[in-house]
Amino acid sequence: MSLSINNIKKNYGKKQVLKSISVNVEKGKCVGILGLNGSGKSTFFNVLSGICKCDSGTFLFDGVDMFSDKKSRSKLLGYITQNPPLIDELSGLDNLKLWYNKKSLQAELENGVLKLLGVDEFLKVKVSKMSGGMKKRLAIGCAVAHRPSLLLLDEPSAALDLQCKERIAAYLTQFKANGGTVLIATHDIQDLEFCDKIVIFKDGISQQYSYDGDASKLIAAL
Amino acid sequence: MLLLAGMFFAFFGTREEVVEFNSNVSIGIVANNEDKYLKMGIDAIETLDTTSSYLSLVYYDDEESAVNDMKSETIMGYLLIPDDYVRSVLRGDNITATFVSNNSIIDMAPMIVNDVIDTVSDLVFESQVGIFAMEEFYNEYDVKGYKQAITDINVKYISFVVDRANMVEVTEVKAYKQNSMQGYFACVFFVIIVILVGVLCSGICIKRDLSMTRLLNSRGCSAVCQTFIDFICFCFIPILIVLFIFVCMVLFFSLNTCIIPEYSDLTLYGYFDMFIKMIPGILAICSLQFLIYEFCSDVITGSLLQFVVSIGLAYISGCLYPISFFPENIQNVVKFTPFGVAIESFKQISLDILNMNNIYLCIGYCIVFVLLSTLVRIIKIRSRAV
Repeated sequence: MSLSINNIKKNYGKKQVLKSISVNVEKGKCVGILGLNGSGKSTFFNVLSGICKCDSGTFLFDGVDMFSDKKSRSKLLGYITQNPPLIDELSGLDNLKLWYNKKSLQAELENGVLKLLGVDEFLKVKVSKMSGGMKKRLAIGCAVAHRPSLLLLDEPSAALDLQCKERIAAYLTQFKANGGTVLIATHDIQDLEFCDKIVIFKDGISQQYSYDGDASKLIAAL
Repeated sequence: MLLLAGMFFAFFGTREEVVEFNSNVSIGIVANNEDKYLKMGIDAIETLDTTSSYLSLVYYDDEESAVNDMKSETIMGYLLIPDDYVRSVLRGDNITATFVSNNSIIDMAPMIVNDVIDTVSDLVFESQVGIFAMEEFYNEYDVKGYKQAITDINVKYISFVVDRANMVEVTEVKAYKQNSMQGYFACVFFVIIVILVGVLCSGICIKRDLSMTRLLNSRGCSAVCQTFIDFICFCFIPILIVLFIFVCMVLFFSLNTCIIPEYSDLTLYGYFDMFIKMIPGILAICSLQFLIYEFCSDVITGSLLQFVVSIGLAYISGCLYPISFFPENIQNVVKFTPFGVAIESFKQISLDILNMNNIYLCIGYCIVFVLLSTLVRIIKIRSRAV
């Protein structure tokens, strides 16, 4: 197993948000995480990315203990938050410059992830004037500057048009093909078609689910 | 909040003293207490509405005691009244009184002198009424030979009133290390500039959402590191502006006369030295503003809160009025507030008598407020992760 997350628990005071969360998947695969609002998806991602600590559990990626080895975690893991972490007063290019060096930025814009995401089309636009789709694509571009092997995406296609979703899907496909592992927290059924595995968060416990295309069954399982 | 609460109780906890208190600037009166007319004159000065609002009078039998108290800053100056001064005024003679002050209130001297002159003018006017009453009395009782006496005394009074400018002579004593009014307000100017720059930075300081913070956290940049770097960037702007003001001062005062006595003999190195020594004070002010911003999530709330707290603290720390105008309780507390410490250190720096305790307090405040800001940032990041 490339990614092995076992028995993650997290409490906020008396409230037990995550009771027992386990996700295991091979390299180059995508896991879709589904759950109702407040089921702990964002908390789970925050625990994995190191923003908050869990009460117990293990997180291994490529044999590396990601909870104890913070340096490796920051190198291997890329986290795309629900709200794009961009500076509104700057342009797209200036935001990218915060994360890329000159050489790598040039390379990615010409023939890399930024080209694939279509970020080169609105480099000079100020972030405050960008659409939601543009911001999301730019945010993904910023988050993968260090070429992570594991991507955490928190509702990547929320409020995006089809064209944007297609671009993001194209990028994720290439990412998977290059051996990257993806975890997507989503409410969008369209995203599920891209996933190799689906895990449902219910009452703080994770359950694997086989999606056969029947949305009503899926909703009933949540 | 604890600081404001402490000041509230210190102020209102001794409300009786505050009600009785009308002391702002203490002025000595050196006069012969055996002069029977003196008490009448002093009562006249004390009952003037203008003096009671900003002066409190301290009485001395001899000039030496007044000088000693002026050295120890118990009084800011004293009025030296010659023997028989009041009687001579009533008779129409023109003896000059002397007002002696140090350079901290020399600019208030004209105001004080005018109040004394107004008092004397009132006495003269009352005396004139007496003279006319005397004339009527002489007419009624057919007293001979009074007309020339009346004419003489009226001429004396007219020349006395016309010659009001020479009624009180003002002498300035420059021996003591105290800030001039110009120097004091120069220090206040720097504090106000730093505060206003801090308020203007609300747009870049307030975190509308924590996405960037969380992303940086996941990339290995901890909340502590982020807070520290944010604070350094926040302080950079007011420090740069104060440096710019110093450069302008150097250029301006090299071409024109320096109107601030504390800065009049400074070399280029002196200005630079002063700027460097002011940095801890600037950091103390900025750290409090930074902490306030950590509690805010939108620009309007942040700017309003910043304005109310910063300007309020600046007011009671002596930015708009010298601190001696406030009750003693307030003065004792304000000495330890971040803005009070900053102003005090700026004043000492301009006189080149810097007390390192103030610098340590400034740095201490800076450390405490930055640590509190870090704590708030960590709580915000973790509490949102639900």
